[in-house]
Amino acid sequence: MRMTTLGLVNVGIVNVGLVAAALFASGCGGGATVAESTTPKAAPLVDTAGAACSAATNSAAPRRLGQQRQGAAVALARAGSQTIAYVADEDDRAIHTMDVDGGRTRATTRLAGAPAQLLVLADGRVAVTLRDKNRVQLLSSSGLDAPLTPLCSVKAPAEPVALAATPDDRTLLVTSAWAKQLTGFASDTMATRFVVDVVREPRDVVVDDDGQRAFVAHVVGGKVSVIDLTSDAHEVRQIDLHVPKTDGSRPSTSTRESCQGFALAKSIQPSDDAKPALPAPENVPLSLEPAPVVPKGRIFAPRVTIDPGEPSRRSSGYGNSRFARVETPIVSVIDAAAERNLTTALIDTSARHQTPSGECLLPRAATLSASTGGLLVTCLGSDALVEMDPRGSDPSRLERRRWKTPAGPIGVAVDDSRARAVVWSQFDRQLAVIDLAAKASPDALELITAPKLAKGTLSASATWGRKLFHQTDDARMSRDGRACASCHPDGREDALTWSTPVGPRQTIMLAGRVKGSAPFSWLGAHADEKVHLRTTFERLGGSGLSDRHGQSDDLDALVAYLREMPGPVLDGALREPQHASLASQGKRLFHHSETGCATCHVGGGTDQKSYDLGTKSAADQDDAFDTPSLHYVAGTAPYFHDGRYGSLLELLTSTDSQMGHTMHLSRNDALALAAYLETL
Amino acid sequence: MRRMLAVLSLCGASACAAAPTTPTKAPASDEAKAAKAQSAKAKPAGDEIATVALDDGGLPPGVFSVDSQARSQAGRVPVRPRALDLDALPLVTLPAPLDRDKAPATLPPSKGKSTLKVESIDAGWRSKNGGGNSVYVVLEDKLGRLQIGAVADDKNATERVYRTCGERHYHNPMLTPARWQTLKKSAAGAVEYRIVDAWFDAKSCEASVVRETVVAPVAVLGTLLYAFKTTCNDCVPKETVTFLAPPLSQLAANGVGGEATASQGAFTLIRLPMRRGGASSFAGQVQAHQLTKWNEALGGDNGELREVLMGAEIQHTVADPQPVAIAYATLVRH
Repeated sequence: MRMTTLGLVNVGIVNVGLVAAALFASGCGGGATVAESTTPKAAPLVDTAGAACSAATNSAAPRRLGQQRQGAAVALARAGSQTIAYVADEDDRAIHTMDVDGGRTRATTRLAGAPAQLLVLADGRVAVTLRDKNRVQLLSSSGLDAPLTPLCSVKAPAEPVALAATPDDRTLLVTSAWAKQLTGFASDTMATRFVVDVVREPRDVVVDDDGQRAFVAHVVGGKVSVIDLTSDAHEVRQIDLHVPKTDGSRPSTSTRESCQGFALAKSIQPSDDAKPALPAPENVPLSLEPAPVVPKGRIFAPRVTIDPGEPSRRSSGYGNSRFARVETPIVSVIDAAAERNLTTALIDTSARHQTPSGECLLPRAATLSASTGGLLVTCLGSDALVEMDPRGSDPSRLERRRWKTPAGPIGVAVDDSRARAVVWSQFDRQLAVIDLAAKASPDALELITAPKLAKGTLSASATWGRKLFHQTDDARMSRDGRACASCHPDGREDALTWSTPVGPRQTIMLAGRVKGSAPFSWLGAHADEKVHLRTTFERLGGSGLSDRHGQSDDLDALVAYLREMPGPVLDGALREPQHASLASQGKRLFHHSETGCATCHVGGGTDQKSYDLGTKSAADQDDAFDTPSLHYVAGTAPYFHDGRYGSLLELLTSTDSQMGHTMHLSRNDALALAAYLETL
Repeated sequence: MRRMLAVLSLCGASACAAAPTTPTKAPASDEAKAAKAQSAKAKPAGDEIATVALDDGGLPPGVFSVDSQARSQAGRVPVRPRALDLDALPLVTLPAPLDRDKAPATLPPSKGKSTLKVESIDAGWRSKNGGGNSVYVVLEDKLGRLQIGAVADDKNATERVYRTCGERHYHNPMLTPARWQTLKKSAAGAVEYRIVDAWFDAKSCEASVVRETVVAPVAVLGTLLYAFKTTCNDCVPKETVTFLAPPLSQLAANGVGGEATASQGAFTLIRLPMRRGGASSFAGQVQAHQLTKWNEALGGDNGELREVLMGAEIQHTVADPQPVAIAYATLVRH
C-alpha cells in the first residue's frame, strides 16, 4: 500500500474572495474532509447580470484547453504548462480545481447550488449551471491556488443542466431539464437572448462548427432536437433516432423505444496545423492502420434502445420481447449537415438471451479524442470509460478499449495534447486521469480524490443506495443487467408503457415522490417500498436483495435513497410572466367543488385509495387503480396507468365524469388548470 | 492526493468483471513507472495533438487479421477496425445476366470451359416413364454459387441446383440462362472472383459459356474478406462496394441512401451502397468449420480455427470529402 500524500486545498468563500484551509487528505478512505464549522459559506445568489459578468480575468488564469465548447461535469484548462481540471461536484455543491499533472486538488469553490455542468469560456471565465437553484453563474480565476471568484448569476428556466458556447463565444446555451427549454444568454452580460421550447428531458447540447445550429439530446423519446441559431424565430426540428424492432432476422414495421439519451458528442475538426503527423501510407498493408482517423460532420448520441413489449398483452416480466434483448445500447450517428440519422438499424450479433455483461446501459457523457480517433463514453452502472470507433454507423458495436473507473462516471474531457482523458466519478468523488497512449498497464489510471467539504444532502445509507440504484449487471435485481435507473433515469421515468404480468404499466417518477406516498404500485397493492421492490426484482428476473427474513442492509439503503432522492426544484425558475397568474387561476379551478380535482388529489397529492374509473384496458387484470400523487405531474407524460393520454391538456379534456369534471371548462380554463398542475 | 489504481485498467482477458469492484490501491511497480516515464518522453509539448497509433495486435499480415483480446465478461467483444481504402478497390461494371427471352434455339459453341457437372440422384426411373433424369447440377469449384433459370437476382444462388434433364417435351424453352460465380486462387496466386454467364441446355444437361467476367478483389482483412466496387450507367447509388466473405451466420446488413443486400451460399456476397449523405454496414459471424473450405480454396492459414465476428462500415456524410470506410474481424467470446 502506497502512503498517501498530503494535499493542500484552498476553499473559497465565493463572495469574499480567497480563504485557504489546509486539509489533510486520506488516501485510503475517501477524500479529505473539512469540519462543517470551518466550511465557508457560498455566495448568495442575486441577479447580477450586466457588466459584472464580463470582468477582466487575471492573465494567470487558466485558459480553455483546445476548442472544447461543450459543457460537462469536468472541463479542462491550461495554465502555462499545467493542465487544470475544473470539476462540478454536485454532492458538495462545489467546483474543485484539480491539478491533473500534479495529481492534487489545488482549490475548491463553494457554490450556492448543485452544479450540473461547467464550461470554460475562451477568456478563462467559468460558466456553471446550478440545477437546484435554477441559475447559471459565471466565475473567474485569479490563479490555480485560489478559489474561483463569482462574477454574476442569472435565472434560468427550471433545472438548468447542460451548457455549450457558440464558436464566437458570444452566446451561452443552456438546456433546462424540467422546463423543457433551451436558453441563449449573451456571454458578456448574461442577458437572455432567447428561450425556445423543446421536447421532454433535454440534456447535453452541442453547437455546430458554423454556429448555425444547436443539437440537444433528450433522455427519453428517442429524438435529438435541432435549433436554428441563425434567425430570431429559432425554429426547432427533430431528428428521429428510433430503429426498427427485429422479428428474428427480419426487420419489423414497429420501432424500439429509447431512453438514456443524456449525452451528445460532436466530431472535432482539428486545425490544419494541428493535424497529427501520420506515417506515409506507402507499403502499409490495409490491415495495419498506423494512425487514427477522425470523421467530420457527425453528432454522436449514446443511448439505449428498448422493447417494452406489447402493452396490449401481458408478459412474464417487464417487456416480452421474443427475439431481441429488452434493452440494448446503441450510439446513433447523425450527419450534422443533413440533419439525418445514419443509424437506422440495431445490429445485435449476440445470440438471444446471451446478454453480455458490462453493457453500457447507462451512458452519461461522451466526447471525441483527436489523439486516438476514439469516441469516449462514460457508463454508469458498469463504471467504465469505453472507447468506441466513431467510423461505424453504431459505434457501440465497435468497442476498442475500456477502463474501469471509480463509481459514478458522469463527466469526461480529453487533453489531446497529452493523449489523456479525465473522468469525474461523482459517487466515489474521484477524478481518474487515463493515459490513452498506454496499452494494458495498471499505471494507466491515476486518481485524484476530491476533498469532502460538507455532510452532503444524502444520508450514508442513501449514498450507498444511490450506487445500488444505478448498478447494472447485479443479478439480485435483474437477470438481463437492467438497473433501477434503466427505467428511472435520474430517478424519473422513461416515458414508456411496459407490458407486465398484470397489464400495461406506465413507469412512474420516483424522485421527490416516494416518501409519504404509500401504498405503492398502480394498484396500491404494496404497503411499503420493500414489498414493492421485491415484486419489481421478481419481474426483472432478479434473485432479490433481501435475505430469507426479508431484510438486508442493501435493501434498506435502496429504500433510503428512494425516500431521499431529490425531486426537481421549481422555485426561482425563469418563467413566462403570465404563467403565475394563469397558474393562480388554475389553482382556484383545481380546488373548486365543481371540478372536484382536490377530492382525491388532496393537496395535489394522493388520498391513498384506489378507484374503479372504468379505465381498465383489455390486458388489465384489475379494475381499480391507486390515486397517483400529482407532484411533478407536468414532467411525467404520458398519463394514466397505460399511458393513454399524451399530454395534461388531453387528459383534462378526456376524463370528464370519470375523474372530476372538466367538460364545463373553457379552453383558457383548461390551460390554466394545466398551468397549475405544472407548479405541483 | 494522487493514488494509483492497480486493477488492470485496459480490460483484457477477464480484467473487467461485470460485478462492481472496489478499486484496489497499490503502488505502481518500478517497471510500470519506467514505462510511463518512457511514454511521457514521447509526448509533445503545447496544445498540439498527440497521435496515438493503435497497434495491430501483433498479428502477422496475410493470415486472419483478427483481434485476439476477447474478454470473458466485460462488455462487447472488442474490435480494432482497420481503415478501408476505397480508392484502392477496383471499380468494375458487371454485365447483366442473360435474358431468358433472347435464348437461342440451339446451344451455341461454348466460349469457355464450363465447370458444371451433373450428379444424378435417381437415374433411370423418370426416363422409363418418358421424362428426364432428376439431377443436381453442381460446380467443380470449391467456392461456387450457381443459378439456372432464375438469374435476375443472385440472392438465390446456391451450391447446387436441382434440375430435370433429358428428352421432355414440356421443356420450353430448352435453353435457359445460367450464371455461376466462383472465388478461387489463380495460378499466379491472386484471388479471382469470376462470373460466368452461359446457356443451359435442359436436354443434354450441359452449359455453353457465353462470357466470363473476372474481377481481382482486394483483400481487406487478410484472407478473410475481399472487396471491389461496382458501378453502372443508371445505378442509384452510383457506386456499390461488394464484399466477398465466408458463409456468415447472424448476418445483418443495413443501408441509408440505398439498399444493402446480403446473399449466402458457398461464399457470402454483401453489397453496401455508397453515396454522399448515406451510410451502410454489415456484420456477421463465421463459424470455425466454414473457414476450412474457405482456406482450402483461397490459401488461408487455418491456424487455430475459431469463431470470428466480422463486418464493415461505410459512411459518407455531407461534410466528408471522401467516404470513410472500415472493416474489422475479432474472435467471438464464449
